[in-house]
Amino acid sequence: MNHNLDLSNKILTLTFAGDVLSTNVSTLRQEVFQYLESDEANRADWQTLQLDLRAAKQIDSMGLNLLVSIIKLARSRNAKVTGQIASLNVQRVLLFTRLNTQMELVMAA
Amino acid sequence: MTGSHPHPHAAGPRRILAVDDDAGARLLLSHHLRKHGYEVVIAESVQHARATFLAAGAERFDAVVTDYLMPDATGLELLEWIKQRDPSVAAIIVTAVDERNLVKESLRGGACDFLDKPVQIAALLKSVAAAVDLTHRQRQLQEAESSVQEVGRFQQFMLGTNLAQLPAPIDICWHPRHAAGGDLVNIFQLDGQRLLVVVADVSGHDLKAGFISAYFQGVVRGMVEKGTPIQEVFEYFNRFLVREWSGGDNVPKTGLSVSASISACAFVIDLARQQLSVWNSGFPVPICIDAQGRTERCGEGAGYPLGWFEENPLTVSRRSIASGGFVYTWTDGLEDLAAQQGLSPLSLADQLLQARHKGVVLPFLQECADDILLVRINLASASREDAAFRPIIYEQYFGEQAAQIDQFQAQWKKSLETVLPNLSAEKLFDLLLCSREAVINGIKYGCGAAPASACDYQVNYEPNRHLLRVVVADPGPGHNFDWHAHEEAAAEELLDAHRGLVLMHRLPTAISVERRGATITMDFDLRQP
Repeated sequence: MNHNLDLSNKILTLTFAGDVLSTNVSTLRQEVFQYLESDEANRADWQTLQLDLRAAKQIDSMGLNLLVSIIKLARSRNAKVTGQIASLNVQRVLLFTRLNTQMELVMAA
Repeated sequence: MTGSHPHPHAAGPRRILAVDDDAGARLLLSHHLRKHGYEVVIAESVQHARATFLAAGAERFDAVVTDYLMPDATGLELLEWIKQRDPSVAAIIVTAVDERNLVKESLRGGACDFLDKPVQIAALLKSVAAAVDLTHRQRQLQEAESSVQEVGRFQQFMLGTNLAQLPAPIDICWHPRHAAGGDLVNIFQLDGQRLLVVVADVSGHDLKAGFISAYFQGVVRGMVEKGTPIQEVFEYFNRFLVREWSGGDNVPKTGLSVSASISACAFVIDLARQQLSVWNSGFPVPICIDAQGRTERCGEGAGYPLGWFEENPLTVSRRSIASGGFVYTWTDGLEDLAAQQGLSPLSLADQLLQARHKGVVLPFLQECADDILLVRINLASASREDAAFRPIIYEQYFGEQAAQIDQFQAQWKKSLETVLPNLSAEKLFDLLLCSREAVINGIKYGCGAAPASACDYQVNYEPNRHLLRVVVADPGPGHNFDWHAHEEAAAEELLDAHRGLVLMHRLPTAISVERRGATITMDFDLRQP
């Protein structure tokens, strides 16, 4: 998982390298929250948290739970969450679980 | 080159074809070879040699000695011509010093040796003896190969006998590793309504295994025809193998080690009582599928392969076959090949049956290191083949295996894509995701992550309705979870739990639960987008 801070637009982007599944979610959770709870992330003025999920072809329920945890943290900072996705199947899953009501979904071209 | 003695199995004088355009050379060759007991036929050109070779007919030559350079063609060309007609005969090329560079070519062309001019008598005799020996060994190999293929053809013939007269249809797919093998299936009609099917796998897949297989079949047939119950037949043969063939006190000290074992499984299909009985002696566990598309293991068996231990706890397992369906049983060669291909055994079995109906051979069968035997028994003669579910995947996953879910999913994906190549990417995605969620739930919660506790996963296909049915069953107590009430709350309040259950209720065409959710059945209608 990589992160990028765009201070001019006040966007913090977290880029996921592939699928978000039960088998890698523990490691991802550790990486994500290690950064989000770091001094750098806490001090920076970001108002949008962008989740770059374009490399994900599959997200299972534990992966969705991680997204929920990230959304909750962003909410605690009054930040907006957007999700960039490239897979129609991932989009369907996010729609079925109504996570599209918690973050703005952007389908990559 | 070795082998200076005549082959022990060669009968009569050894016949040599000697070819040289030089009269003196021909005289030298014939004189010295005849002096040492060879029968020599002379040819003075390549054309003459060809005519002589053809005229010999059944009286084949044991070796050919030929000059390299002759007016009408070379010795290499003659050699190539001879090899097309009799690949077993060894040849010697006689070359001059300046022709030595061509020797390499001649050896590549199949000559067994070469001689320098002028020919030394000792070298000639040594080379000819070695060539004759090589010819005889190559002919023995040819005969052995031919015998093995004959055994294999006979085994194929035995598999096909009387299938058309059976009260319950049986499909057999047999692919031995070599021409003959140790896998066998025997079918006995006990009476008008009862059928006995014996499937077995003799250790090894060579002629010895074929012999032991034939011996076992003879014993089984004899005892069954005398009315001996199949369990007693297995118990008898087990004792026989252990005591007489596998190093017991009764084995004569000849230095010959037989050390045979046989994995075997017997099925009695009783159409009158609508009952299936299974005895399993170290065989892969057979799989039953009923008319409702439910798959389960049948004939778990505690027995060892016959020939391992004198104490062999053979038991029978029985089940009703009132609802029809099929039994699938196979030797371990099929499971090994399935693992190699990344497929579930049932999906490989489906492929083999489909290929058999179409009369084609699957190319990857050549990669199999063992014999493969697959038998599918129709449990109700009235069942219509095209209305039946086809089992594609049946696996058991234990409570400690949650971390391997990616591997399991890869096998499901490959199995489904293999059996249903036209399956849409969206349906495949939905099925895989729902399966993943259901199995993870089953392993973690239903099995309580306990290593000895297992969750069953199965996928079955009904061609008539283009339906894929996924059933996941765990041994847990289930739950009283109301997913309808939870779904909205989970979305609004960002609850962590049970998102997988929401997916399982949304993605399939239909879902039903039994045992308070400990068994989940998800149907995917492939006709719907």
